[in-house]
Amino acid sequence: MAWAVVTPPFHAPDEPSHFAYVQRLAETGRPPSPSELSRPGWSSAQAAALRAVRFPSVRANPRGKPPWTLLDQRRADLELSRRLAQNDGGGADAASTYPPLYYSIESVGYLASDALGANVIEQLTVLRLISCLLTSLTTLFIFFFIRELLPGTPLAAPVGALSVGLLPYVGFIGSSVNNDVLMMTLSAALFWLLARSWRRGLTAGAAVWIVAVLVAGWATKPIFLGLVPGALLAIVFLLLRLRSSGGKSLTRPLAALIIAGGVACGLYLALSSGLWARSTQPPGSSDLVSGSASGQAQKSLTGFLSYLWQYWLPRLPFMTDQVAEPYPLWETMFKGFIGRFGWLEYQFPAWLYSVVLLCWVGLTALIARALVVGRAALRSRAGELLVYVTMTAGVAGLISLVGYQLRTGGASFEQARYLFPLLALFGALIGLAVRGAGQQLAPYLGIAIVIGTGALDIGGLLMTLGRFYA
Amino acid sequence: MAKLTLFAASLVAVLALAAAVWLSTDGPDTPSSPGALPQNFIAGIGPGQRLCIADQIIPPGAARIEMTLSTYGRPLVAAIAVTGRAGDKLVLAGSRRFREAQNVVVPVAPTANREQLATICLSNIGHAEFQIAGSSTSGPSLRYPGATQFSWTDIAGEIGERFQRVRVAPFGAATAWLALALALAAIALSVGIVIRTARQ
Repeated sequence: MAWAVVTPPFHAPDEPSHFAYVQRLAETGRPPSPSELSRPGWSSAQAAALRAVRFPSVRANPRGKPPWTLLDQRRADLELSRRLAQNDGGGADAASTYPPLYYSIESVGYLASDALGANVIEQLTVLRLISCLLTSLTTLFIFFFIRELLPGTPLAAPVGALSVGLLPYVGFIGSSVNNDVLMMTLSAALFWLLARSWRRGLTAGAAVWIVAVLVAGWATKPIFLGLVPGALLAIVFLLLRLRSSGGKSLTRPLAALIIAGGVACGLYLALSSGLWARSTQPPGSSDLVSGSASGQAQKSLTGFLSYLWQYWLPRLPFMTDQVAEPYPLWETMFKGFIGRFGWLEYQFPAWLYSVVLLCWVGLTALIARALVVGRAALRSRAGELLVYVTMTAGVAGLISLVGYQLRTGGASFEQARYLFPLLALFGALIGLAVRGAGQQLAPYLGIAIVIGTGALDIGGLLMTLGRFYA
Repeated sequence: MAKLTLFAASLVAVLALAAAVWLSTDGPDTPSSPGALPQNFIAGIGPGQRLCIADQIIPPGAARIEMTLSTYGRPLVAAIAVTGRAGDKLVLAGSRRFREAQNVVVPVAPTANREQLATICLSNIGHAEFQIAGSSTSGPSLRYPGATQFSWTDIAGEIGERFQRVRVAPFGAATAWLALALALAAIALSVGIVIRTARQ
């Protein structure tokens, strides 16, 4: 919640576009459409608020400062008190391609604050607080997930979940208006439901929840689809396990999966084609299938494979240079995951990332120790492990697929927040490190991890104050 | 064990807080204005060619300019010269040789103690063509590592005053610091949860 207060209005990635989506949906009952090119991206009221906070000159400009004098406040009060139209925006913009589930939840807060006479900046604050609630739920689901995954290490769950909740980049994005927030909540819930089913068997109730979360993720953000192959693999494994254990309890979960899947998909498709009047196809998916080039450069399978390799691994000598950063896994993903703020224009000092990397080397050794010590249990859980690896590969592959398509068109895509569907696994790795430390050292390590992550969080907040108000 | 854990927690908390305050004043990398991170390669500069970028804001204390350059993946040695001019006046200059793709840091002089608006020109003074990274919407990415340092003791009072303007600040000038206190309380609570779980 501290991030929701400290980050100046609209200074999180694409926040004006996400707010415009909520406003359009709440005001008109219809989500924006990427084909509405003639409609303004922002309503008159939002445009006035953006002017009041000097958004265009401050966004992504480290030397730009928001209004901070009493005179600025009086001018802004005049601007914000004008009764301007709130329903004339929400045209084609950065967020208009996204499905409407997250924005439908946020529109409840929008309508409630609007009924109380709130202006755009106050409405944005209410929407951010709803995001904070969803992020808290994410942390809770990660706690439940790790508790199912590592039941023999009681410290693993609180340390793993808290280290995710205190991570500055999670706090920053998780308190902004952005559909990534609901996506990470649903991803964490999916991991928990799957881990729970591995431990206790797939029940009809769990099957319904898994399907509901999968469809909700589909209705939230396309990158969530990267988890789907792994989740489907998990369902197949779980059903096979039920069959091999006698088959008596197979019918109810299977029926629940089919009925819940049919109902949820049918409902989403009906809402999309009827009330919302929009396609359920992920943006750019026609390009993924047909390979048609909307950009300037040619796309090819070998080009994509080369790009995929270069993005996640060091480039090999015979490969054509396709990625700007020397090591994108380090520059974009690792550094971004630790913390890059605003419209990505400010970050921690370079040395700090090296220190965090060094800490991760130590944690990796502890994770390896935990895996070696528990190798017998690991063998018996190979199927579950394969599911998590598939989910990770699915998300990484989807990020690179979209990134490749956009880069060949001259744009860029990748950001560390697109790894947020895997936050639960990040927390689980921390939990494994705690397990690897052994019973004596685990409390000390747990405290050090939580305080270290908390220090990063405070550092990020202070840096934000310095960036905008120093 | 509980006392020892508490002691460790207190010690680490003090160290971590001190580090957090210190690192937050160390000055983040500062891209040019309008800010651009190196997202993809956006322009090539051949031998003898020059690329000029107008209206660049050079922060005070800038002694180095960092760019992401590449010789198109070929193992070649290239060379770049950087000049910055405010009108007719040369405000900074420097040059550097580099190999293949990397973040190239060019030391520049003189160092000014105030912000300057300048046109920055990047010249290829070698024999190999190279490309520069940036954003297709904001232009080439020029960064000034180590610039813009400040002291919290100088500005702590002003920040609270400035923070409360044109935003939701229910506690006025204290809002910013109360938000930080809230974050600290969350960390303390988290440590408490870990200690309690360890005891059980």
